[in-house]
Amino acid sequence: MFQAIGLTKSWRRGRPPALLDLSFDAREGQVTVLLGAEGSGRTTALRLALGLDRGQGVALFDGRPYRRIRRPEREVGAVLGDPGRHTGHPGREARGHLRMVAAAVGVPARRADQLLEQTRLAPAAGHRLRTFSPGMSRRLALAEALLGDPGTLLLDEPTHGLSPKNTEWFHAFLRAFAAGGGTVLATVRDPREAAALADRVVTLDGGRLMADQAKADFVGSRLRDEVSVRGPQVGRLADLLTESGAQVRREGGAGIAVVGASRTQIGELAYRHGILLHELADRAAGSGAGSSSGPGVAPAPVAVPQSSSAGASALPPPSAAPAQPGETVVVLTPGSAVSASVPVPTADTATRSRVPAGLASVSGPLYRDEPPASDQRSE
Amino acid sequence: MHALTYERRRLTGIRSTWLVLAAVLLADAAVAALTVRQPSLADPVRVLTAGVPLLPLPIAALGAGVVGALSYGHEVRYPVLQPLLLPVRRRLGLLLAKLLVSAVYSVLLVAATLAVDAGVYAVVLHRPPTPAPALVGFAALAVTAGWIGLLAAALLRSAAAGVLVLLTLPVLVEPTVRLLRDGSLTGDRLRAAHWHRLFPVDTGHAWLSGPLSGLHSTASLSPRGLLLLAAGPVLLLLLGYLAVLPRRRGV
Repeated sequence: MFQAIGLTKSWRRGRPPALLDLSFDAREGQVTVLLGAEGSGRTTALRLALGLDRGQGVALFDGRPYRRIRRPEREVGAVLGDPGRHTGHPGREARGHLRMVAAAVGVPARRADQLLEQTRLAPAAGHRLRTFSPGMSRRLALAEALLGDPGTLLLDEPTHGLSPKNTEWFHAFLRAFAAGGGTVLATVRDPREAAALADRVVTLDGGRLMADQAKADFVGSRLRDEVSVRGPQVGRLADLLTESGAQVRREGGAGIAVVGASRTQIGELAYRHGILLHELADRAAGSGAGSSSGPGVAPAPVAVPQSSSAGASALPPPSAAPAQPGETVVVLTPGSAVSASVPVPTADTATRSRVPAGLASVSGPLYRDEPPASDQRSE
Repeated sequence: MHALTYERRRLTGIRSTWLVLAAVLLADAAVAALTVRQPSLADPVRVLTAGVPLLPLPIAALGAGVVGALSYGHEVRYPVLQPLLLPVRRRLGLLLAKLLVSAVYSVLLVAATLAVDAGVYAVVLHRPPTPAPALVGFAALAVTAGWIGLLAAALLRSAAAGVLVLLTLPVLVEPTVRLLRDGSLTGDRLRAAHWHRLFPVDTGHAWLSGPLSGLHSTASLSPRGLLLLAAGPVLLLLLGYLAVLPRRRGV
């Protein structure tokens, strides 16, 4: 059981604290993930927990701080450092390196060989560390952390920059470690990966705790279903979707993944603009997808549509009545989808972020409420 | 934590340890082969230690110092044991293990040097060299050099800094000792004319290693004086390291 109580790391002057009052628990038998973007204070939290950095707050491993543990390597294993490059001397062979660390930990060299087998590095044991790929380096770092047979694992970005196969291996290993009664605390930067790996997700943003959720709550509140779209002209469709407020992620040359727009809406949009589609498919975010409520929801990274898009300002509505807040103003001309909405000035960021306001204005009330627009299009 | 085993595996697992050994032995053999042919220079002690007047220390002592400095420099540069070395007692234990292993390496280096040079001497002159008690001092000098390199690297957290300190110390110490012995800096005999001796450029190079490497020295030192002279920097560096030890996190 790992407990962080009020971990704080502040710089001397003028800069915001790297970490402010972070408190959470990581329980036995669970994988706890610290989720956040780069610079959100995840690594600082791990270093503070181990006592490698100076700061305020307490981190307890089974009730004791790290430096009070008599033989810490038997209780806590840490995988820190630059992902992709091993911290060891590049000219050293993997087997010799692991045996050396085994001596420092105080276990026989036999245990090092055993861990090389366990992390699938035995065939590469005679090679020098400089020839190791990022995946091999990370597995070797994991083997070092496991030498003392600890009950708690602390990992800093174990899977960042690794191939899908290595990532999968790491996930399986960490989940198995937790299933065997261990405590795993790992930092992750991709929410989807967090959902795949974690039992509990602690979200950090700018050094502050945004949410501490079980996996189901996290998947329900932070992840939305994606729609996978493929076709020869997805670039244009991506522009249109972005304009209407959906979040678009490129997937290779002829594919995009869309968040914040349903399959129907995307299909209609494509039809109206004569864009050819080859694939339009839902992709589930996780097992517990669908529930859209939950306390302590972090603002989902959805671009809130601008109050007036370029097209709307170029073509002012003929009836010059000023729009009230909350009212939707839509102007349609042939060949271009233009939408604009006056956002409701509200403090409820969670609601606003989850509702793709711009897209709703394009597809939902368009045909019912504004017949002049339809007439204009039929000319 | 088995610090001695760790340090032994660390030292034998990297290439620089063996490269330094090979380079020192090669240079020693070359110098010995050059000096043994000239009757005026063919003093057995000088041939065996392969003293070079240009260097502030014998070659073997320099090699021991480089390996000692790298020993701690690697811990800083490749922080593999980062969370393990947080407790102060562990860092102390690791330092003691490093000092011990460095001493063993230095002694072995000296033994190999003497063996190689004795071989050169025997081959060229067809008679074995007579061992002299100064050779024990030679081994002590190599061990001390290794420790100075190691402790300076530990204090300054860099192998290069450790080697630099090792190279600078004799250059600074030797003129100072000479001035003190002359009495130039004490009492009424303080004379400005003697200050030029502080600059090692003009006067004959007579370094700390003079009496040991068979070179002619202006400041003749007894073995006891040399021992004190060498132990001084070691103790100073050790005290400095102990002072910063609790303030550092990790190595």
